[in-house]
Amino acid sequence: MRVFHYLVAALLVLASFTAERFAFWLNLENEIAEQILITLVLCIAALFGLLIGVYLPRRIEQTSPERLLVLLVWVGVTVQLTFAAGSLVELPDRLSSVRAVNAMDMARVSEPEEGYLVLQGGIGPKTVDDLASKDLVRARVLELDSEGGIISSAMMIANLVQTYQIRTFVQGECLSACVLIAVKGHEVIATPDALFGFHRGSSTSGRDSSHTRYLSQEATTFLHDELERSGIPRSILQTMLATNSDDMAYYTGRDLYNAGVIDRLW
Amino acid sequence: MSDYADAKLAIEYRPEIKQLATYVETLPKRFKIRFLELLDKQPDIAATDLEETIESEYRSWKSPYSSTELNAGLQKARELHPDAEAEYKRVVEKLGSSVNVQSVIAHLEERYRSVGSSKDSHQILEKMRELYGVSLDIDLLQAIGIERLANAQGQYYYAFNGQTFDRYEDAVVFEYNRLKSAPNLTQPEETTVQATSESDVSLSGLDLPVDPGDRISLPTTPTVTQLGFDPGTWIYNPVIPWRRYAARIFDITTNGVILWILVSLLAYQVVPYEADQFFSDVNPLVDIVLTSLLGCLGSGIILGFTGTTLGKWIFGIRVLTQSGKNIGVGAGIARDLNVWFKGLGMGIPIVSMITLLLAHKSLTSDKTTSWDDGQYCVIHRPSGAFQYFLNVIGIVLFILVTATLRIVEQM
Repeated sequence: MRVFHYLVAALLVLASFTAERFAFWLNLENEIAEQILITLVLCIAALFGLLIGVYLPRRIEQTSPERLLVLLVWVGVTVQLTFAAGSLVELPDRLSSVRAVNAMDMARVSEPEEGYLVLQGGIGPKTVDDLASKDLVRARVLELDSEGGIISSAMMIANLVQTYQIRTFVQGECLSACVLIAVKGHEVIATPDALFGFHRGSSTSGRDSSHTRYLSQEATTFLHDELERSGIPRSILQTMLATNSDDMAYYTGRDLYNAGVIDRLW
Repeated sequence: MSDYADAKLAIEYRPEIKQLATYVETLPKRFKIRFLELLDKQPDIAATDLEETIESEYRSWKSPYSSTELNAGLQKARELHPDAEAEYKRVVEKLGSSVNVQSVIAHLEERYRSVGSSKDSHQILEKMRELYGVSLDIDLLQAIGIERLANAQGQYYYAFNGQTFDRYEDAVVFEYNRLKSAPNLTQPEETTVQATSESDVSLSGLDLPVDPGDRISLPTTPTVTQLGFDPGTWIYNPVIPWRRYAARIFDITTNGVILWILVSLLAYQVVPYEADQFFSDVNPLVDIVLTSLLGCLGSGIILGFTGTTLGKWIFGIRVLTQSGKNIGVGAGIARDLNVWFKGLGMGIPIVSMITLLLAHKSLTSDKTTSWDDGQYCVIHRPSGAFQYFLNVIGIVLFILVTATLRIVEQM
């Protein structure tokens, strides 16, 4: 029994599954380098896995039951190769996405008076950090004035808003992913002429590829389901699905109040 | 041993020679004989000289060629048959050292793997006569129930157990192996016939073990012989269509699911959008056809590589080459694609039923199927309590896998 080889093969498969965690653990502070490192780890693991998968059968007798173990190694290697191929194909999209997110991540949360927070600009991971650093226990209202941003970041902020039972208030515009935050307020307040914008989701990468199309589709499905859960009427959701990501369907605060989405007009 | 009285004396009274004899025991028989001859001729020979002579002769016998590849080929030919060794040497001598060793060996394997030694059949005939308490072969044929028939040209052939044989020895050997493999039937006393008298060499009380290569394999005809495992455990007759069908359905389900997962994983990693479009709305007919295709592909790979699959193992089936080797991944895939097309009708309902019925008919009447005929040997574990137990396990496992799939599908 070639225990050493099987052990190495198992470790390589493990490496493939934990490449992202490994890159995160290294804390490179450079997301582009992080993405390249993940792809590199996956490719190297797959290459060594492939070598073991080719080497092992040559050393094993025809009738040995050990051959079944080699089949397992092959399944592992196939999965590794799949991850490596996917990562290689997706790398340009990921890099492009990282650049786009860095450019978009401009929103900051200010606190003009105690317990009154204002979120202005595009929503991204740094917005989440910024909001989390505030004293949310004392926070009463979060005013939103944003053109949208990353859905995952918006969802994290929405969860904070929900957890700390913060009211949301819109008097300017709250578009795209920003709506996800607004509707999660303990009480949703808006001025009658505040603008809410809806459209299909899109990938942050500007490239046209299978991955970006898929991510856009997933983002749209997620947005739709999440807004549906928050009580957005079906007619608005249908308009959202019919509006491309580079376009916007606007609704005023009064429209949404009439639709029962907003609790109070200011 | 009485021929080597002086050699025996030397082994008994000279510790260094006794030690050397222990080493010689590990060499092929001819060197044991050579050792005894030299020692018998000159009992006071220096142990180092004797060792050097034997060692040198052994080396030049083992590696007569300057090329490692040629020497390795010779070793393979030796393992096949003495005639194969002689032919290999002749080929190298006539065609030169640039000959393609792999193709020569493949050719020799084809020719000599299935050749049963006449010495083997002779010994088996002897054992069978003993077992049935008869002294003449004609009585033995009668006792076993082997029928002698004549063809249109007046040539005799022999029929037994639904099969025909050109030589009656082959029919007897076939029965011998059948007795060995069927646990409820009377068994011949020994499971393996050992080489005797002329091939046995012993060094005075130190019985030299007979070479593993001297173990006489049990020749059966047709070709289930010389398999790489105990031939007593697996048989090829009578055919077992229902177990084969159950194994196939089991394999298609399990391997089909595993390969679907791998294929969809690959598709979602490389072209996720197109994959999602495809997988979210698969036509049920396309689903059945592709699942059966992937299931057969998976089975082919596993079968070619190991000689069996999970389903085949549970239901007690192995598919090997005529010479008892695994058929190889390429051939395994080709065979199972053939099964998918000719046997399963590509999984298309109704078409599949017709092809399965035809395959069943072919298997029960011709004892083989169109995808195995003349190429592969399908053997199986004899029916018995253990196999019945495994059959039940197989059916329960199949139900569990199918139920799990249904639950996952609904989730």
